[in-house]
Amino acid sequence: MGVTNDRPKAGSSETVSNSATACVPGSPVTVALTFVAPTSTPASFGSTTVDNSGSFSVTGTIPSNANPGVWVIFATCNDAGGNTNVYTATIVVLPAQAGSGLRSAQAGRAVPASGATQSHVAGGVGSGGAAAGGSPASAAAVGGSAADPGSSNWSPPATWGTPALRALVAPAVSAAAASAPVVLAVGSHPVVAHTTGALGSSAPWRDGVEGLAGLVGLTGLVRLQRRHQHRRRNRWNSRRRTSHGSHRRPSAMRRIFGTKPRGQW
Amino acid sequence: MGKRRGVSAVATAMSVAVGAGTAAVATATPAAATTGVTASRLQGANRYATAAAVAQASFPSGATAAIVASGVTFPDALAGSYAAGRLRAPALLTDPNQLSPETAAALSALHVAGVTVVGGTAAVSDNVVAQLRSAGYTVQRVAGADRYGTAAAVAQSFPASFVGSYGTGGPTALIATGLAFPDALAGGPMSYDASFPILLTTTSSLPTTTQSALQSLGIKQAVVLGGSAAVSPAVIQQLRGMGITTTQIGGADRTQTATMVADIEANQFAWTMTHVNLARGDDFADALVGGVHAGVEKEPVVLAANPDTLGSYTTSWLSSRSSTISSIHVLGGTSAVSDATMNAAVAAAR
Repeated sequence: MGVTNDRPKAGSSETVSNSATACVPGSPVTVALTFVAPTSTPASFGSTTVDNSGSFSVTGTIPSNANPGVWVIFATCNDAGGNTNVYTATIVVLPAQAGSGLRSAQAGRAVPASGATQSHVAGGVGSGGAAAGGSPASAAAVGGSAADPGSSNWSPPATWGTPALRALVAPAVSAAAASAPVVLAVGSHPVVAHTTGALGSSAPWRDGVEGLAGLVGLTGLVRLQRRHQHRRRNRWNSRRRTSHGSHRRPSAMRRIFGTKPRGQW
Repeated sequence: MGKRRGVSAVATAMSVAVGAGTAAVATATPAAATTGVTASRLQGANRYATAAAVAQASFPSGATAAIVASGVTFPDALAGSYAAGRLRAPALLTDPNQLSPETAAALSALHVAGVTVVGGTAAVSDNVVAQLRSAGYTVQRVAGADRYGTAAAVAQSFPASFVGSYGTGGPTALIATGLAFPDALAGGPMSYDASFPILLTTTSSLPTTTQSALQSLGIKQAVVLGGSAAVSPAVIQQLRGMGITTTQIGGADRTQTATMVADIEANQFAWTMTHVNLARGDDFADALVGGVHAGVEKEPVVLAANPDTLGSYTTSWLSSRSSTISSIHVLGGTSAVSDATMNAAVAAAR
């Protein structure tokens, strides 16, 4: 089962979906979420019916008072044999006020359904929740949907910042060759030193760029550059590579984030 | 599925090593000559680094959440495979008193956002929890009053509807002794993949916390791991008295029990047995994280009797499955499973 954001904030909306399930078309699907704790009582998330292709999609709201931490969203429906099928996805609910630490503030990833499902009788619960990397969603807005930035048809989700920002980011990502390292920059200052993986299927690359772009993009100050261009044009960048101390240019960061993300710059 | 055979193929020993948070792949000395079976190591400089290497090999695209358990004491960690499976999460180990740097690096590399600590404060201290929170992770602890309570707590952290079934017997749990680790760890891959909670018992009687968990989860069938010396007939009778049907799987020793579990995985769950994981059977750490890895792969974990001895049961089992086995993952470095033992496994599976 897939989710649009695997690390939503309490009170935010979330869409879960699954395709080509074994469930009977037209049969009801109930979706709930449960905190991983022995005394947890599942909370209702929503319900729908299975469509003719065996797929379903439900949009609900993460309870505003949800405990921060690891939760499981699960959907149940019946197959033709009357067996109960359970589909799950793991999410980490972040505090509604999350934003001080990068891991909390980092944009969640959309997790596509992988189709790993099993019926109750056949031997257990399948979870399609393996984080296989997917489309980005911004930290502050849920529901962004786009192809992988490594693919040719990628475009920034509509939830990313301003139209001008999206127009700026898309060509840079599309133009970068599959092997080209990239640097995410605010103004002329690179802010993600570790985002140097190859553009394409590299999860660290995606997470770094999508996460920071999602965040910084809200301010409209982000731009994406290919690293070799950056090297030529920005003397500061070369100093950054030789001296960690030169990372400490907090004024631009503080203008964006307000506070210093712990341990990041 | 047919086995790949190469007349002149040379088995290569690939090594995935993790140290100080960096992973490297290196080609090592060939494990054996002229065989189509390849062997590779998932290893690190210590158990924490090995766990990190295994986790990253199991979840190359990262994970939303991770399980963290003690790397020093086994009791509270035994049930972790069930939680890992329900969350599709890697299992990592830590020093009880401070977050192991290899684990911290792995959590970051895997882009984990939430950590579920399995075990009480004696197993994983509050200081470790504080370090995790300080690093920006959400953290929740699942623990009971003792090892039996912790296993029950892990099982009950997920709705009863999550529990899988074995055959047509209804919701199924794995029952193993809580006094030793090998039998419970043998069930790790099955627990992860088939959604069977692992519950623990003493040799002579079923703890009340275990009984409560069995009832609250609606368990109708128990697969008892280990022979009557580990789980006595009295416990079997208690289970049956609760209306639970039982199947007991016990070998002459831990290595044979592991192979018997592997046969169930092949016969009942149609795991292909084209690939096998090999861990040392005289320590828990590598087999624990290997259980999650094997569950992801849907391939078994078999045990070496000790670092320098493969053991007759494992040797025989590998030989009996030689028509399908084409590769072996060795969990841990040479101090955990020696090159000679690895070569013996390759030779047996040839």
